[in-house]
Amino acid sequence: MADGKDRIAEARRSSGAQSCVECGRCVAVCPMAEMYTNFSIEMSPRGIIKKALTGNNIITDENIWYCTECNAGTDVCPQGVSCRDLIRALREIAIEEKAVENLKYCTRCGKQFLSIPAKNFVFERLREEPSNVLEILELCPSCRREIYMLRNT
Amino acid sequence: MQKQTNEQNNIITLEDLRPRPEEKKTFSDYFMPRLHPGILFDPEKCTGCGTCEMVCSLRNISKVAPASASIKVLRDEISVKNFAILCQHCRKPLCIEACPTRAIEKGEDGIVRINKLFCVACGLCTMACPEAAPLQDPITGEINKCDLCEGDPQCVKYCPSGALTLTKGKSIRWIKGLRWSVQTISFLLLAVILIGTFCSLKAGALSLSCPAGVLQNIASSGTVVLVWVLSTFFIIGLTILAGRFFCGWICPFGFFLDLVDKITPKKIGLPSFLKSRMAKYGILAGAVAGSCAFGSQVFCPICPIGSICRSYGAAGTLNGANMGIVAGLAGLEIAERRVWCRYFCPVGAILALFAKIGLIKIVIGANQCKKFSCVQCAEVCPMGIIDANKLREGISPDIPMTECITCMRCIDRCPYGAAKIRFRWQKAVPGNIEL
Amino acid sequence: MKLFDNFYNMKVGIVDLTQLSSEVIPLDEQIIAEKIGGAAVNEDLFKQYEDDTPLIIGVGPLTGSFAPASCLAVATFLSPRFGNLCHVPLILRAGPEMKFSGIDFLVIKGAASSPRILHIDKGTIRILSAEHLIGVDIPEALPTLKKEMTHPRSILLTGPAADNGAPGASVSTGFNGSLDKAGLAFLMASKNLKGVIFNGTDGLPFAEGNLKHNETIERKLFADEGHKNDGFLSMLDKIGIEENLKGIIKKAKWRNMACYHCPFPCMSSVKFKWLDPRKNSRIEDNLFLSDHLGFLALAKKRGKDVFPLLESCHRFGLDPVAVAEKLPESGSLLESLNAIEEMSVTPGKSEPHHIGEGPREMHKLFGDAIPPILPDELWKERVWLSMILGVCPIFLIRFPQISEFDLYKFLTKNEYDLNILKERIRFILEN
Repeated sequence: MADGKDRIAEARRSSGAQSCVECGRCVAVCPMAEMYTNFSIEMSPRGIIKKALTGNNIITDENIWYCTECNAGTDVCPQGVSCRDLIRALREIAIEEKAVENLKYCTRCGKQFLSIPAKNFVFERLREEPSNVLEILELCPSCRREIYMLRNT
Repeated sequence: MQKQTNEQNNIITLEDLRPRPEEKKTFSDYFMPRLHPGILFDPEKCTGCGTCEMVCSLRNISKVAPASASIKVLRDEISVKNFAILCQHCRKPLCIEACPTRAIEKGEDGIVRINKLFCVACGLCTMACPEAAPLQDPITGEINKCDLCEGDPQCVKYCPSGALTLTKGKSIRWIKGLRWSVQTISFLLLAVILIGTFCSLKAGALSLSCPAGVLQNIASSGTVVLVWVLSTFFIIGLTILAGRFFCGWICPFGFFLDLVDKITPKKIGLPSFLKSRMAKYGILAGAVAGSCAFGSQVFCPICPIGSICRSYGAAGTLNGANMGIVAGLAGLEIAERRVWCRYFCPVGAILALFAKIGLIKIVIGANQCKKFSCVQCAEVCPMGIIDANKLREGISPDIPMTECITCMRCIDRCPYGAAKIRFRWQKAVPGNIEL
Repeated sequence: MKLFDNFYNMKVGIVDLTQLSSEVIPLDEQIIAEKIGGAAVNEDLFKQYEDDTPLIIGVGPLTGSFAPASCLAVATFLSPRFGNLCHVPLILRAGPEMKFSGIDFLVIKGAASSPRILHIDKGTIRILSAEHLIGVDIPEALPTLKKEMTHPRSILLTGPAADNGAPGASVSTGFNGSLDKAGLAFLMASKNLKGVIFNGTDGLPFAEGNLKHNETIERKLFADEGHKNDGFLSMLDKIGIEENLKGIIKKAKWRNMACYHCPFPCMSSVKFKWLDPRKNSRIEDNLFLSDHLGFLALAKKRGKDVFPLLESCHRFGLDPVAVAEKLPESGSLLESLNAIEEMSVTPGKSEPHHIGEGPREMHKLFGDAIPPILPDELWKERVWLSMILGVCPIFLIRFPQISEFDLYKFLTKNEYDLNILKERIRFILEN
């Protein structure tokens, strides 16, 4: 656990989270607000940064798995805090320390490429598509392109 | 946008601020459907030079950086194939559904565009696209997606081998006019002018007759009369040359069914136990066996094709019984299109047997077909033999010529020239690849 | 020089394999002003680091730009096979990808204690372990690499032949072979360098007018040569190939393949069927053909078996010319395939071997892989020009109607600067 705390401190430092002034600009542009009906303060970039700074069990918090890593929050932050870098680092620590994860794995090459809540959102929006299309969406983008190429040459 | 601090009814969502535009069908859409432009890629011609990526990135970020282009060239080294991945501007784009900020729109001109004002580069459009066509720029992080360069695509202009071509999406459409004319003339000839003649038509010394009828004749009388058999050669020869062309272009009952189709656009579907394509062979066998047993043609009196020909008698009399048969069987059209032709017609069954050894086939060419983004051929096929699900997977389906009535609606409708007629021995499409 | 601002990153990467360290330093403007780029600058850098037996890989100013066939990277090193300083052209995508990954010249010195592979992306060089790739056939090593590095855009790899110290070892661009006949793979193996991977994710703002200029040149070419192009076959024609050989190879299915931005491909992919004696079944294979002289050497020796034998050469990373020398004239395909496998596991000294009466000095200088289809003086001038500017040498010798000024115009339209360029290059050629 001591190791974990060190790494969280490192993540805070390298993403610049200490400089956060809680202005909320990141929340304003965050697409998660449109994606999840249960969007809350804790899920927002501002909320995650705050929780990471106060350091209480951010690793086991399920809210770090909702982010799509789009980086819009970083683009608008006046302090230059990178919410994406922070969340990526936290996710890595969570996987290694606690063996907790909520990532989607490609069914063909095994690489992880999207978080499960984001994937559920996409599938919910595309629920009327036939099952064989949805099957293709279980693959990571590289595999999808390769399959498309193999089927058409 | 803190939802929990608002009352349920006062929440303002994206739906209210920027509502989804309605898919309006205007009057002119019925006559000249909207064009769907796109870029077609021919893998046979692609040399993998990457010039398309260069000019595309030049337009995107004013630098030559192939990784920042909206088109990606895949180069497989083991099978030595090249392939270009780019946005197909689907008819029903999946990326539009998935975008959380509703930044993607399909314009009036058919081009699917990402509005950079609303795009946050979340990348969910890439996750929703079956081809993963929107590409994330490795330097700026933005999403680069083809927008056809607003109508003058640079990649098409600068491809040295001509593997990329722009198509405006116009379809042929003249086959429709030709077919309706031929069907009308055939109907007038067989049903009205030369009354009751499909079953056996005599023009001077020449005689043409229905193969099913001749079979029943032979079965019922036990003798084979050469001139009967020879008289079926016209229609059988036609079938070997052009598949079930008779069913699609000449049969008067088929014409009648097509007309009924026009007034019953909403189909209620058929219970699955009736949906066996083998049933018509059974009916044919039954008709022949029955004729043998009863000593006279069993099916011919109730055949709808014959009935429609006999409905109009000399001096304008209308035969109620015959018309009743026609109306009754045509009523099946509320279930599916061409129900009779698909499952029950014994004439169709014989023609199917000959179409199986026929010379031609219909293929959906893999190179030009837009697959998951179009599927118009599957929607317009009256026999329902083009597997739309396979198309959506990106596979060109196998089209059984025993079922195809060669109406060529698919060829007529395909805006990209992918649906076409080929000789049976010509290899046209690659096989399926399992996931 | 202001002239080259948009054409270079102005960065040099220095890799020390003994210390396993790397750094990226700015490129000295003076060298570029004097030597322009490509092989000439490589030579300068080579002299600078001579004591560390360096391998220098460099690009020219036109590499990656809209100049036709602007794919070239030049590898400069002391050839184990010939014993002299050698400039080997690396075609396909090595040049542009290196430039777009942030580095113009790469100096690799020293030797590593365990197998290593270099990965260059976004201006940073990583030295990674390559233990798991030793002894692995190239078509099996590639998917592993691609998965690890998330689909890099250009891979330069040595095969198991180099790992075992076989004399005919040759470096391969992916699974496509290469123009390395000077023992580059042998040198890399002696440094314990398994390969170099470039992942070009950035770009350069090449001058706007270049696209139009390229169009003019291409139009002229199409007018001269016509649109029909047979790729590899047309090049074989130019070199000279016997009629019966032509008949044999026409039986396969050909498709043209091009390097970066090349409008007139000189390479092809071929789909051929053959009876594999080891599996005793008829299989269909695909092969990428880029090495004309190698192909001809094999075809002369073994005729119709040339495709499966070439596939074997690519698989083990062997130079087809070296292989062709050692193969028996008669005998079954199985014997030949076994002989090739033997060759890939037998270590030896990299000795000079030759095509015909032996390569002459100027051929030795450029790795002995560029076909001699022009008279000597012209050949030398054009190849030097291409090696300095960073465009494909084969393209320039195929189309002598493209003048040097046509190429200089990609850098500048200013008359004065054009003349300066011409003089500088002449100067380099004299010496």
